[in-house]
Amino acid sequence: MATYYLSTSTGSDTYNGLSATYTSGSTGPWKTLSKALGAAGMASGDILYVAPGNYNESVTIGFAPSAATQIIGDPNSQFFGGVTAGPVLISAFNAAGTSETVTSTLIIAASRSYFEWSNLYFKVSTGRAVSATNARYWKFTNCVLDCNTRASPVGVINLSSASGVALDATITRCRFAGGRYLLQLTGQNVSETTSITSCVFESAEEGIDINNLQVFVTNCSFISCDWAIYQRSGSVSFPSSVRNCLFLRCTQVQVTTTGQLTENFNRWTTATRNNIGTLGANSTTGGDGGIDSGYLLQTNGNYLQTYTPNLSSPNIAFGTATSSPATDLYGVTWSGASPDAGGITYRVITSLPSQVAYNGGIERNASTITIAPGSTSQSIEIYLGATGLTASTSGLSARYNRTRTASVSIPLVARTIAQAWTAGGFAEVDATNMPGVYRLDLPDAALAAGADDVTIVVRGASGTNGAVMTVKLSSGGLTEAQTAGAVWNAVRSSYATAGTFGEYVNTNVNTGAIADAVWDEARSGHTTAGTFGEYVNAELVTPVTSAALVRMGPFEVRADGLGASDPLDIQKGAQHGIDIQCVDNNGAGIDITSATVTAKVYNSGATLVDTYACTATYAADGRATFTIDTTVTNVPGTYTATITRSTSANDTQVFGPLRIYVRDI
Amino acid sequence: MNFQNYRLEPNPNSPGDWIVFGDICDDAGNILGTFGENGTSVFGWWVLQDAQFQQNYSNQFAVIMAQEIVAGTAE
Repeated sequence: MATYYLSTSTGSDTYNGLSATYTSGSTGPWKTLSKALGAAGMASGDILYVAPGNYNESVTIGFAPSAATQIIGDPNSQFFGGVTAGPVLISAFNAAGTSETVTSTLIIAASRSYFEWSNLYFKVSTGRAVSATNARYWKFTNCVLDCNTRASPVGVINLSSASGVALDATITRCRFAGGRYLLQLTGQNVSETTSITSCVFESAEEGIDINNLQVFVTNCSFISCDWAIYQRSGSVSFPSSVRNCLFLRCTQVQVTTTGQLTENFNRWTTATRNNIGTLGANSTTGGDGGIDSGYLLQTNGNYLQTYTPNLSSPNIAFGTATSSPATDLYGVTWSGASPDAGGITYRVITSLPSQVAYNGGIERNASTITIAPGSTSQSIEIYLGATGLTASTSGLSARYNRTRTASVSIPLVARTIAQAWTAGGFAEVDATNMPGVYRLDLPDAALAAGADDVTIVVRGASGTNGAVMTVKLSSGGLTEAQTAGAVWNAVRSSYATAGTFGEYVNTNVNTGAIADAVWDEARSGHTTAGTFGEYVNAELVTPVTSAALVRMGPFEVRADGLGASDPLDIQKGAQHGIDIQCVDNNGAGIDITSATVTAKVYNSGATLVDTYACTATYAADGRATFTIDTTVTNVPGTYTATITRSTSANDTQVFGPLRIYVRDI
Repeated sequence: MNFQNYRLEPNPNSPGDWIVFGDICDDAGNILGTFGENGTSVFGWWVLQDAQFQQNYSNQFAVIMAQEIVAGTAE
C-alpha cells in the first residue's frame, strides 16, 4: 500500500506523487486527477491525499482495485506545505466559478470497486459527479455534492452493481443539493448492506432514486425535494428501510409496490406517501419542520449548525437508537437521549472544529500558545478527535522538544479533569460536550527558561492521528497577577532612565521626593483662598509675625518675689512683646540705666525654658520690654518669669516672679 | 396524506393523458377517498378546475417545461 499526494497548485504529473511537496528530482505531488486515477497512477489499496484547489476534470478511472482504495481531501492542507487551506473541489466549473467547462461526468468508472471518497466537494451542473457501473463497495464520507440546477443530472452520484451482485455502497455524512436526481442507486434485488446515513438531501426533483435495490436510509434530512425517495422497481423480499428521517417541504415519497419499503420513526410533516401503507407506530405527520434556517444567526441569538433543530424542536430525540448512527452529519453526538429525526442535531457553534476525517482518524493543525518561561504546574488542552482515550490507551504517547534539542518523553499519568497537576497528567475534558479534547500536564522542565519554544506531540492511539502544539516561551504569556507582580516588585532604582516612567517615579513620586517637594516649597507660592496653604499663611505664620504688634502690660514685676502682679494669658504658639516695670516695694520704678535686664522663664517644673534680653523703654523708671517666643509658647502650661537687673557682679536684683499662662485658646 | 394501491397508467383513449389509480388514506391506513375504480384522468380532472387554479399550476409547470426545452431531455 502506497500513499500518494495530489496538488493542482504545486504538483506536476511528471513527479512520482509520493511526496506532498516537491523535494528533489521527481519526488513531488501529482497535479491532476487524471494522472492519479488513471492507469499510471495509484493502485489498489493505495491512499491518495488531495490538496485544496479546483480539479476541473473529467476522469475515467484506469485501474480496478480489489481492496479499499481511498481518495481523501485535505481541506486543512495539513500535508501540503505552501498550499492554503480551502475546499478540495472536483468541479465542472472553472476556478473562478464563472463557466461550466466540463459537461460530462467528472468521475467515470466501469467495473471498478472499493473506491472510498472523503472530504471532497463535488460541483456539477449538466453532468454527473460520479458514475460507477458494475461497481461494489463504494463509500462516500463527509463529502458535498452540489449541483446548480434541478434540471440535471439524473443522478449526481450514480452507482449500479453488476448482474446478480450486491452494490453494498456506504454513503455517510454527506450533503446533496440541487440536481434532478441526487443519488441514483441500482441493484439486483439481492440482499444488500447499502446504507445512507446522516445525510442531507435538498432542492432536487428526486433525493434518492432506488432501483431493484435494498437500501437502509437512517437519520437523513430531506428538504424541498419533489420526490424525497423514489423506490422504483424492487423486491418485497429485500425491502428498503427508512428510519429516523425528516421530510420537510417535500411533496412525496413514492413506492411502486407496497412492501418494497418499510418505515418507522420518521417525521413526514407534509410529504405524501404513495404505496408505503400504514405508517410505522412511531412515525408522525404534520407539525413544525423544527429546523433553524438561520433565524438565530440572524438575530445574534446563537451560531448553530445549518439545519440544526430548534431547541424545542419535535425532531430532537424523535428517533430510535436501534441500528442508528451515534452522531449526526457533523460527527456530533445527538443532543437528546436518542437520535433526532433527520441528519443534523442541535449544536451551538462558537468555534467549529473541523469535521475532516483522515483515514479514520482526525488530525489537527499545529497550534501555538504562549506561556511564560519558567512557569510551573502548567496544563494545556489538546484536540485528539477520538473520545475515551486514557493515559493507558495502547500506543498513546507524548513527547516534547525544546528549541534545537532532542525530544523528551512525557510519561502519561491517569488524571481526572478536576485533579491537581502532575507531570504527564492526562485527562479527558468532557467526552459529551467537548469530545476529543484532553488535558495534558506539562513537565516543568519543558517550560524552563532558556529556549524559545517547546513543541508537544501526543499521538499513537487508534482513532486519532494525534495533536501537535507549540508553546512559545515568552513573558508575553504572564498572567495578570504575574504582570502586576513584575511591575510592582521591581527595584525602583533600577528603572531611572531619563525620559521613562521610571525616572518620573524616582524623581517625583518616591517618598523622599514627596516630602522634599512639600517642605521645601516656597510658602508664599501657595496662598490660594480655601487651600491648606492659605491656612498656613493666614493662621500659623501671619499671627506670629504680627505678634510684635501685640502689647501687654505694663506689668509690675516687684523685687519682693511675691508675684503681686496679675498673671498673663498667652495663646499657644504666639509671640508676644511684654512690657514690664521693675519697681521697689513702694511701687517706685528702679533705674535700669546701663543695667543688663534679662527675663528668665521657668515651666511648672522649675526648669528654665528660655532667657530673653530685655530692652529698656524708660530706663529711669525701670520700664523695659522683651518678646516671649514659641520656645515657651509652643507648650501650653503655667510658667513663671523672673526679671534680673544686673549692673555688675555685685549689683544684681531679681524681680518677680510674673505668672504666665500659655493656653490653646 | 397516504396513497395506497397507487399507480399511474397512460390513458389509452387520450394520448398524453394519464389515469391515476389508488386510495387516499389517513395515517392509520383508513381510506378517506379514492381515485375511483377506473381511476381519474389527469386531463379530465384538470379542465374541471377553476381558471385561477389552472393559472397557478401552469405557472409552475412552465418552469419545468422551460428546463426540458433547454436541456432537450426528459425522464
